[in-house]
Amino acid sequence: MTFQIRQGDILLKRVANNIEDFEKNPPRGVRGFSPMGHTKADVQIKDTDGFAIVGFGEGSGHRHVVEGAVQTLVQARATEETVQSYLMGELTDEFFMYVSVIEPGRLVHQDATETVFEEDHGVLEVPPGVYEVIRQREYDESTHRRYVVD
Amino acid sequence: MSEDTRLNEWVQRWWRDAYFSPLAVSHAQVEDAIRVVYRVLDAPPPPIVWVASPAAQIIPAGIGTARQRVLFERDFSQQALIYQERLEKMAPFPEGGDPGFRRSAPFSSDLGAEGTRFLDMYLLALRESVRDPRVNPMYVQNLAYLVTNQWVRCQIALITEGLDDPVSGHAASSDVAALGRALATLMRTTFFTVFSAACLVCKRPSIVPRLDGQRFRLDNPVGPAIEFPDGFSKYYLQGLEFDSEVVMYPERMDPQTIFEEINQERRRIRLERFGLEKFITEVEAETVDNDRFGILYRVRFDQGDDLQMVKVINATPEPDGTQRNFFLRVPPWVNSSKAAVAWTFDLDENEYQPEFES
Repeated sequence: MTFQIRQGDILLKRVANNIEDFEKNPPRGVRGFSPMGHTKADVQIKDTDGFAIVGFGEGSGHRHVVEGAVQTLVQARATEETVQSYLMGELTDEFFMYVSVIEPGRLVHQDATETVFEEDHGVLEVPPGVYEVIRQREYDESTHRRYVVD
Repeated sequence: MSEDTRLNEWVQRWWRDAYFSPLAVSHAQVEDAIRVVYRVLDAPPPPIVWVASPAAQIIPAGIGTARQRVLFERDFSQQALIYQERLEKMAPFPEGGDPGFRRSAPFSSDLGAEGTRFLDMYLLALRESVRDPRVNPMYVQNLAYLVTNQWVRCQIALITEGLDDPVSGHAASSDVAALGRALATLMRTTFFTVFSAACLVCKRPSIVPRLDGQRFRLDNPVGPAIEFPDGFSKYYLQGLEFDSEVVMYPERMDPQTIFEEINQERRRIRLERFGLEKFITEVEAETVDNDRFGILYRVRFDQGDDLQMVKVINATPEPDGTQRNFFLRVPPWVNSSKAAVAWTFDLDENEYQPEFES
């Protein structure tokens, strides 16, 4: 069983202990990506300013953020616009996102003014590791799935 | 508490105190402030036109017809987003911002790079809207932006530049300072729109906007959250805009419209207004499974697939001890609550096991 942390409609699932392990043993067949697994060339690793946004709520303006020494990993071909679209719940299988937590961090929920707001979702500690970011989805009769938007 | 969080909280308090203050500002004060804005922007002050609501600005501004006013009223927030997008696509500022506004007063460094960028855009918007009557970026100052504070931070940065500094003895005398002082007055007018041919100023709302407790969002479960003298009103629940029917007559809602609501938060609020138990009863949902992960319901239809939904409970209790319920649609083939919730995260039933939740 892999270690998982859930905050509302975001699930973080640990897939490697650190980024070196991730590169040596990339997850295979994750969420519709190449069944041959990710390779180093598939992934772009992006440094952050001490936080990584892992989900947005367009309607209410809230966001889920991993704070700490973190990096994000997305497809090499992903643009900033693609990432934003994913965070807003607009893409489906064509995109993946991982977050590498280098030192113990925390998953916080912020309101529209970027203030940590614990009334909706409490703060969760995030141990070091590389986590797949999974957005919650729901069933749609025509497409069979769509991401949850809030 | 981080510096950024402290700044945000301060901004919220400042804005709330200014914007939601019941203290009226006189027409003369506002018009003086507008003349300052035009002087700083090197434009001759045009006639000042007072309008009774944000929607009423559409027609005199020459950017809309009576029909477009109807559209504007119907989709107020969306209109604001359109203006924001238009603004953000404007030509970028040169490195370091607009030197014309920076020559004599350093801007608040606590805005950071992002805030400074927005501040530059704000100043650009002011100038552009005076020079070109076809664009109207100042519409960004509307309700939707009560919850996106970057613009507020820009205004406040300008306003604080407009105040004399009692510690350093620095007397605010620059154009930026003058603009800041003017904006501090204009913030109390709700909306103002600057053009070369006219400046439109919206009167204060007749119903002072109601906020949801200490949260920075509009909320009034018993009436409009904001209303203007000409009757233009908007209904908000927990920061989200709804039709007046949802607020005033929730019992009249058609359960089908709750199914059809795509946004999870909006669906939750609709359900709360309608009543969870009433909803389950009216759609004749049967309980398929009930465990610690949630309750799986099925609604049978004479034709087509059954509709299944899982009721999940937010792990973090509300301040009053209650917990929010969400209904998520799941495929008709899952047959347990855990499998249903696992499916929503694209995991197998055996794989889904979060160690920590909130």
